[in-house]
Amino acid sequence: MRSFLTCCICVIALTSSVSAQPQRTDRSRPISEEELLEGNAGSRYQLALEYLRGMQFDRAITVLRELRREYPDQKIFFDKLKESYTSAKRYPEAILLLDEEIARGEENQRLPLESERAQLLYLNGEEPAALDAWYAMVASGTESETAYRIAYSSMVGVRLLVQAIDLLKQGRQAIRNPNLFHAELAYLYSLTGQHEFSIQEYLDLLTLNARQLNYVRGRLGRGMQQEGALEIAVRVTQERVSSQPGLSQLRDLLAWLYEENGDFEQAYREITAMEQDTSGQGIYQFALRAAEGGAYTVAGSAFQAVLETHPEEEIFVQARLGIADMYRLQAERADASPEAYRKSLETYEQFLLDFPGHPKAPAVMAQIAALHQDVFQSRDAARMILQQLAAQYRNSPVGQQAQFDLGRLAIIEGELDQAAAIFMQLSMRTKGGELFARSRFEEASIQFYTGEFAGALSTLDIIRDQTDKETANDAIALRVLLLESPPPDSTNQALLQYAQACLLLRQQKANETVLATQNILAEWGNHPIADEARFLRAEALLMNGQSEEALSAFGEFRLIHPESPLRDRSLFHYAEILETTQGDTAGALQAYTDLLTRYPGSLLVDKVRERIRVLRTTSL
Amino acid sequence: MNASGSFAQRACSGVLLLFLTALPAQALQDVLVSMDASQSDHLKAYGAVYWALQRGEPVDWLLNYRGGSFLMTDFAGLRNELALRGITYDVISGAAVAQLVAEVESNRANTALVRLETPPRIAVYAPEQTLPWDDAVLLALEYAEVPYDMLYDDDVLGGRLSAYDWLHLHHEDFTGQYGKFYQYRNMPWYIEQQREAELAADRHGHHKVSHLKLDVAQTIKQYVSEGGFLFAMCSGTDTYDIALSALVTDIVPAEYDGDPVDPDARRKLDYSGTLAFQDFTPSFNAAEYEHSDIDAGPPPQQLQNPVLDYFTLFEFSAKWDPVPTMLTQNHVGTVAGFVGQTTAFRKHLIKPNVVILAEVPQREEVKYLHGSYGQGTFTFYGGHDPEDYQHYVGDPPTDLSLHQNSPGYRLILNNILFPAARKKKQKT
Repeated sequence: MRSFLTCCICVIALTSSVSAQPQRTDRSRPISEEELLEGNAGSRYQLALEYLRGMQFDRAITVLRELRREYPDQKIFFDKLKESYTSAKRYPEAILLLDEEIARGEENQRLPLESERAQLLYLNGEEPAALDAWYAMVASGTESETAYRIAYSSMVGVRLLVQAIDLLKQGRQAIRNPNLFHAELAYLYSLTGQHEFSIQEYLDLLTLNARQLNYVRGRLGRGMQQEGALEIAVRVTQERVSSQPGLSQLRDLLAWLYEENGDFEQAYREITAMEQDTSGQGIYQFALRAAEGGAYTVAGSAFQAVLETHPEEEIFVQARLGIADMYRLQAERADASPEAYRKSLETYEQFLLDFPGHPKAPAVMAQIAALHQDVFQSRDAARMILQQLAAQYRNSPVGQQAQFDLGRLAIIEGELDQAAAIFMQLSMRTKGGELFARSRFEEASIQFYTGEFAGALSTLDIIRDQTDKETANDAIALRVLLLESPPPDSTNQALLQYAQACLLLRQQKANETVLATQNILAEWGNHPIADEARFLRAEALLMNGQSEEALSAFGEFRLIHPESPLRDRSLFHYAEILETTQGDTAGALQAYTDLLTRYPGSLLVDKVRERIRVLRTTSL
Repeated sequence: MNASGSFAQRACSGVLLLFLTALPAQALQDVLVSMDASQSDHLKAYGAVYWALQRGEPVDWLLNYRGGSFLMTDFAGLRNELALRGITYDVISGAAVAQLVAEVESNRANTALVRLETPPRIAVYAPEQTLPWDDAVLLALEYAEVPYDMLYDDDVLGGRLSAYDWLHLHHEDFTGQYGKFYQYRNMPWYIEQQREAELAADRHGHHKVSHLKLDVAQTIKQYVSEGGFLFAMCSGTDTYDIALSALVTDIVPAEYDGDPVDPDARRKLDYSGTLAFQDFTPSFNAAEYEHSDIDAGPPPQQLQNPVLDYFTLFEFSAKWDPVPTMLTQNHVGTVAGFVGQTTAFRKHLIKPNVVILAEVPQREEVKYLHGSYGQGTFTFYGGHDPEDYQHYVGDPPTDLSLHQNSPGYRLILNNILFPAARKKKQKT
């Protein structure tokens, strides 16, 4: 069955050019029922088909030969007999059959049959004769385009790609029309890896007909994934644009190729050299893509162009917002660039002033508040906006996020009761979601800071099963700390002081954190919390820019607290400071290696190995 | 050092560093890399053994002892390297080593000691072109940090195979049907693959790609007969034998080579030239993603689940059958199944002289087999990627750092070490 299907597919492929012909002779007329019944032809034909399905080609051939002799005008018998010969690899007989059919002299079938004959000669191992037959066929076909296309299709069917290129090139000369076969030749050149010629053909096609731009892009799209193809396409198209600067379709294709190659600057140059699109959408969409692709300067220019050309339209507003988003994106990607953050803030603020009633205004306000709170530490400005958002959009996601941020702000400012109230309200209104888990965790943190340790544990229990939430790891860490720090006295002073020190660090009061942790260590040096306090002190020193002191603090940590679960982390920080701040590659390498040797089960080992490999390479 | 730091601070850091870096003095002792469930990274352990062999340090492979553990002299740098690679090890004294070796060599247990001496030179048969699927052996070699060279048709036919001890074939199609990926025929990678194959065929005087691949398969067979070790996975297994069997016939449908299958192909197949399989029937359907009935295919629908689908390793006598024992060293007896274009081999189509190393229970399917040809050996392993149950075209490669203890990948890595074993006189 499979073989029969294969044969069918094969024969369909071989005869596709024939079946594609719109005109038919009487031979193609289906045999009538009366005719089939007469002489039992129908039964014999069914029998032949059964033989073919069973891959009994010789038997099928015997039956079909008889039918062919009796009904020479029935095309179906001719087709099936030819198929049987081909499937049985009896090419000489198939060729004779075609000769016979060609000799019948039906002009509208001659070209496909001759092409098929050439293909059979090739399959029979007679390549020179096959090529001669194809060339003879196109010559006898009054050198028409159709003849060449039939021959091309037949040659591609047996993967004679280079030969098909030669044939089509010869066809252009013979017909004296250099504008023929661009699509076919471009395809053949691409298949044979001749990308330069391929793009030339596509450009010729585009020069003739600007409406082929999408077709060319579609065809090029996949081909460009082949190695080196895109670079060649860019170069060749550049040359063509230089020689024919007035053809906007070529520039359009070049701009697209530049973008595919990640060269937004050049792409924009081509876009602006073309006629302006009246809606501005083309340039606006380009600006968005450029910003996303990290080409901020050119994206900015494109947005600016939209602003200048469409000052009265909605796209103007979109471009304004696009610029602000672009600055923020740039700042985030450029590892907290203050200048880009400042530009982003100014642009968002100006947007809000100019378009206060725009549907995007709440989202813009949220962005401004986040920048004030997290980047510029302008708490008053942040609070004012967040309060407005929380009041106006109380039950929407943007309003709830604003309330959450107000809670965070309150913690930073030491208004813990106010913060607790906000988070409690929020967790009641957002049950189950991400904001619910975050609010609950903040509630637990506040309880921890204020010494309500039992309450903190109860609150953490509520989100204990929500392991898919962002706060899951922090919640586990806090829970473990509370469970593993048993009070030596009823007042639990050591843990309370440590919690307060943690709050100080969160409020970015590094100096005060150092002092607070030193007090803990002086007073509660043997308490189980001592290692946590010492580690916090080292972190505060680092935050305060005291890298030498931080280095010593992290370095001595393991010696003082050899059993602490933080000993691997302290050694890692020690190595990190040596590597980044001190520039001591050899020392860092040794410290990382020491970490691997001493704490092979540490969660940091993957990071450590990565650093060792990088440092080893650097040392070379 | 930061210039602004005080002398005292710098001195403190220096002393601290010395203190931190001090390691225990090395005495006459050995390092045992156990390969049972206690090992933190089984796959990297193979790379560490290879690394030791490269430095001229022999390694004893303790077959069937704690999952096939490795014993090495505690030479300078070894412990650091093991730590860097994340490999668990124990340092044991000379007396304990003597006791351990005696225990392993005793006749009371099915264990044995095999000395590994020379790192095998490894070649991977793969095109330069990037194809949209991963190669489990390449992933394993990369992850374990074992060096290898890439070879392809020109290299094989140019006689470069003799420079290597071990050759790997993966998702390859030796029948010249481009993996039977006919549905992808318009994809750039398929076009490039077909073009490169046709050009290579032309360079070597072959009219068809199937003839080129047959030539390559025969050259590889010659390499095996002269003492090479061949390891194949997925479609590199069955297509290799199918190609060898079609020496005098055409089994490639017209969609791939332009002319139909020889109508008498089935009768003309010659199984005497194959390595592992016989009496199989190739698939002549161009659209069917299957080369022959050698492949048993994926398990029944209800078992197509990495939790339910598994295969079992045979246990061999470590002292009497060291080679199959080496190839099946593992810390588990059953291994999670995985499928591929060739998933497992039908048992009744395997030649009688082939050793079955692992089979799928109750399904008459073999997952892993081994045999000899001439002076060399071949090992075939069904499936595509042991840690990606069903790898699709375009899927990202598996991250082996997430599968450091993969039993399926261990079977691959057993293969690269066994050519390093010193030949022992047969006990029989």
